[in-house]
Amino acid sequence: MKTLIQSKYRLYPISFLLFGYYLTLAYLLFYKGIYSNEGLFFAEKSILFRGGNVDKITLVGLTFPQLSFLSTWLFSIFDIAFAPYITSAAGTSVLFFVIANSIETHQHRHWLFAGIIMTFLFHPAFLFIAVSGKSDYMTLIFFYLFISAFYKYFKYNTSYHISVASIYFTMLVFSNFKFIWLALFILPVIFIAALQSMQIAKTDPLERIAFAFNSLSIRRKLTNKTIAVYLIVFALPLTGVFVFRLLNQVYTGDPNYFLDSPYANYLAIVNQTENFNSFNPVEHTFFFPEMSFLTTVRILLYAPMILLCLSIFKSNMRNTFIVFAMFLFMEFLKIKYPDVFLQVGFYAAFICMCWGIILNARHLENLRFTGQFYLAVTFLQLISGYLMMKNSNIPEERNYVAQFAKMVSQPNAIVADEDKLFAEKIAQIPEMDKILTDDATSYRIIALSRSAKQFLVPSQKTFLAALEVPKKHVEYILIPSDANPGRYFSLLNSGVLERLTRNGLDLKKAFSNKNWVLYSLNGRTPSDRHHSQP
Amino acid sequence: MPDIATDQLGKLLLDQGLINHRQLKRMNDFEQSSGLSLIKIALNFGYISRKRYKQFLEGYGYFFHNIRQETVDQLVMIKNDLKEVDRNLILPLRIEDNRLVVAVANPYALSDIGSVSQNWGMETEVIVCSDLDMLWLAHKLLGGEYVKSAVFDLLNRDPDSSALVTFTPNQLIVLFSVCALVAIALFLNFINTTIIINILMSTFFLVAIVFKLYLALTGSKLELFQAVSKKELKQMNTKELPVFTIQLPVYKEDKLIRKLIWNLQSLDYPREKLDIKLLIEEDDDKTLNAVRDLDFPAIFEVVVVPFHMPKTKPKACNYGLHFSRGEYLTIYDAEDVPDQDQLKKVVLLFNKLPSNFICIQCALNYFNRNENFLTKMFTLEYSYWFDYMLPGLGTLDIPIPLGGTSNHFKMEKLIELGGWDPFNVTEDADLGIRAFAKGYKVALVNSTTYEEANNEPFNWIRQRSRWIKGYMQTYLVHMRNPAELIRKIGWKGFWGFNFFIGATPLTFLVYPILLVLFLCYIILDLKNIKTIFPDWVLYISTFNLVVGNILMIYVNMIAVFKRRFYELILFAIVNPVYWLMHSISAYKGLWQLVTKPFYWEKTNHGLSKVSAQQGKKTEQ
Repeated sequence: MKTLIQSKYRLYPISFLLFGYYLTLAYLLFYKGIYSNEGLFFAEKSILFRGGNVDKITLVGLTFPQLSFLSTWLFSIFDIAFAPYITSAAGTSVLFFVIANSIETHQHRHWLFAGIIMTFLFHPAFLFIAVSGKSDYMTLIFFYLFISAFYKYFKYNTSYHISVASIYFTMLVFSNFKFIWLALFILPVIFIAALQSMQIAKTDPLERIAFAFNSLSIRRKLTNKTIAVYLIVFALPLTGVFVFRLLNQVYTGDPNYFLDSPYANYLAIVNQTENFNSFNPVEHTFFFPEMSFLTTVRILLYAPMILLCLSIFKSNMRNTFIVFAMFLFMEFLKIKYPDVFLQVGFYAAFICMCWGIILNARHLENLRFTGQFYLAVTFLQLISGYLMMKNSNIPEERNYVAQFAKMVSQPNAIVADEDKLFAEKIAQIPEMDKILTDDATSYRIIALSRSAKQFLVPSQKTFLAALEVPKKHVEYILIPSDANPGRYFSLLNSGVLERLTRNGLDLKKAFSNKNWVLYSLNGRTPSDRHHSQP
Repeated sequence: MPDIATDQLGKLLLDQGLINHRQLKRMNDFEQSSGLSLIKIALNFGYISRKRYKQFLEGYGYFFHNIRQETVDQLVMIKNDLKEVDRNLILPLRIEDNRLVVAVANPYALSDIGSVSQNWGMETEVIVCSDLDMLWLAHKLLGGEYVKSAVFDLLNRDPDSSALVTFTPNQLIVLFSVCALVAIALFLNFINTTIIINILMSTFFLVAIVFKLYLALTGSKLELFQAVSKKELKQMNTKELPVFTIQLPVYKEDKLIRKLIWNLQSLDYPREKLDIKLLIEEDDDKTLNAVRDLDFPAIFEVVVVPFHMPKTKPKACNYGLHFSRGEYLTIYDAEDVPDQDQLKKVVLLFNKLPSNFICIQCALNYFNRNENFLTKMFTLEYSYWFDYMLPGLGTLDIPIPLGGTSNHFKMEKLIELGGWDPFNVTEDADLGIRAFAKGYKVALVNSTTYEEANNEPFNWIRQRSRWIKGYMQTYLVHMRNPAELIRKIGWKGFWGFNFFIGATPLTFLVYPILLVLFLCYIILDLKNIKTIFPDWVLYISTFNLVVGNILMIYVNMIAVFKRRFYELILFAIVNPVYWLMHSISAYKGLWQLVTKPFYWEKTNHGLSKVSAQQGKKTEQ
């Protein structure tokens, strides 16, 4: 172990092997028909960019989370549908590298490294993030870098660390917009840090505050410093969001397009369907309920290590406050979005934060626990992580854990996604036969069929004309079925179908599954067409 | 041993209470070690003011002649050695009635006068004059050789490094070829050509600013680094300090002379080891008279720079080199307030560094930062430049363009490099690149010189237009042969040079164009512009401009941290306005580059109502 981690150059092969491990798992799951919504959403956008006759600037510029999409897009040169999964595998390996590399000079790096590699190899949350094609890896990378930079700023008080913290925070926001709310909870921490940095001959925090507020020069200095740090930390992310909203406004007429439009952000619908409390039938025995004011307990179950880490900062108020800020942030999310379940990435962030805390502990003698104890807690985290993921409120997470377990124990029992078969059938339709569909909900089908050429989607100019007079423009119409949770969010639904039928359009059901129905306009099924071809 | 006559001057000064015994002893010791005359030491090393000295001699019946109006015999004059005149302050003027008329500053220097008489083989007639007038006359009449060397030395030794030729024929061919190609492309396909130009301009703008941010972040890693610690300073052996030359090139800075002496006096360095040269232009009577009228002792020697075009600061500094005695040399402006321990830190750091480090640059900042909007913006700019950018360049091993003052050189190496280019109006930046190309390095030290920030917009534009023109000159000089430059400074240095020196003026030139496009598009919502530039072009262009501006504001915000100028952080937000002033200056600089490339736009100093002491007090 010692020799393995002595040089950061030895981390490259380890990270690469980890990438291979993730990629193999991702490949096995993907080709057995286990998908995530986000992965398929990104894949569909890449497919539209490559083959669809759409406004590419809006597509590339406004698809959100922006950074994750752009990195997925880069990997699409290998396999356009599988690209998000390659990206998440690579990204999680990078996350491992970043964390493992940062502990290189740590006094207890050997056992820290053992815990890290154990987590990245076996923790269900990290495995899920690595193989699901989701963008949580990027959130975690920037979150870890942000937290580490912030702690380093507290430790060294240099503008370098506070500046890079700000840059990482901006990246974090553009990886997961909800983190913008974290700013609210960091405000008091910055104030406390500024107060602690003032040269006041008082030790008690309250006395320091009282003294600072009653002395004109110290009050002025404190105000100036606090505002300066606020600006340096928040100016970039806030102006970044402002500019991005401005671009959204200019190009779509809606400043919140990147958040609210299902064409730009898959969460716009998923957070109102699968991840939505009232939408989700309570049929599982949840490990622990996710609700306001109890989220903290849930976090502690996910990452019990955090309790140990808090003891490191026992006498360091500002560092402890950062941890509390994160807890408050999570509680806030639960209050602001009471019915939307928190995805596993948020919980995994706390595990990453533990390493950040240990790494930046001012006095190493404060590490009051042994390596064996740390490893035992890490092992405990694996178990609690598995139990939490297995009973997750989010169907996608549950499904991945279940299918993964099947893959290990009984590979033949894996249940492939229903849309896989449907998409395969669609892929057999010749490209010249156009299909009218709304990719707000049908992005999974487009992604799995791997071609955008035959789809006519709302971002194409002829979509509205095709909606009015389908026969002139398309041969098929793809409509969500009544069982599809996204049916209310599609421009093409049973209401439209009814109108078209009323207008005398002869629609014949070509094929269907639980979620989708493909109607043929010319009375032929794809197989007829297929057979009629020379 | 001092001769009896010299002793006589000393005794008389002692008798009159103008100096004390300890001072006399120090003067005599210094006379022995330096070879300077006693009167030179008395008047230039802080012992007696010229006014008092004149009164003292007049008390003994001497009359001060205005030798600038005396008849001068050229045949006599050419036999004089300027350096000897400068040391002894004795100048033979003419032969009259078979007697040599000799101007002296000290009529009691009988031994020296006797030597002159002996050398010429005739009796002498002594006339007493001000040492300043004598120096003025001597430099004017005898300094021709030195001033020619100051102007043409670099040109003769290394013509490729001289900015005498602004554009080489090859550069003109490339420039006009590009213009012709663009014109043809516009003619053939107007829209696509303008699209390409637009994308190139805006992308370049963003890349240049991202590079600056990268530099600033790299530099900020060194924020806590102390090149020389307080402990090292304490342990320093001050007896072995080398002679340090300080050049003070001034032009019509009569109002600042008093401040200058005050600032120099606070330097923590043995007075005898300081060789301070006030470089005054021949036609600058204002400053000369200000020195003459000082009612307290001066601590610098005056060197009068004879008239020769171009009338630039580097020419004056090159001229001053001929009379400098130091092992190390630095330049300060008249209004500069260096940290007291700066020279000691520099010596310590030179001793610590490898021998290829030939220059140490100190940080510059402003003592009047809170005076008005301009001084605040200027302070932000200098803070990120000297506290973050230059350390960033140093860390990445990219050539460092030296700042205008407070760059400390090894004299020997400076002379080896050919001194400053008198035809370059940012000679310091040019010298930094030239040194780097020759394999030498520049280090930065944790010491600051406080200057007076320009507080008047037109004065600011004049100064900035010169700087930007100088950057253009420097870029053109070093890009005469890009392949050769790459060979000398490597690819990293080459790109660093292009993005730091080349890109700086170009971003200022491009900025208003991008801004106008942005305003037309976003604010005025001109439909016509969309017929030329499709949406995607405007998207990229707007993105680049907006993000570029935000990042530049951000770089300015970082600047407040090292010096804890937190109160200035909000001013960073108005950086786009400040950049417009840069753009005005850049266009002025470009115009002057074509019409009068060597013209030195004089910056007026002494406009600030804040004194250095007040400024420093506020900082504390």
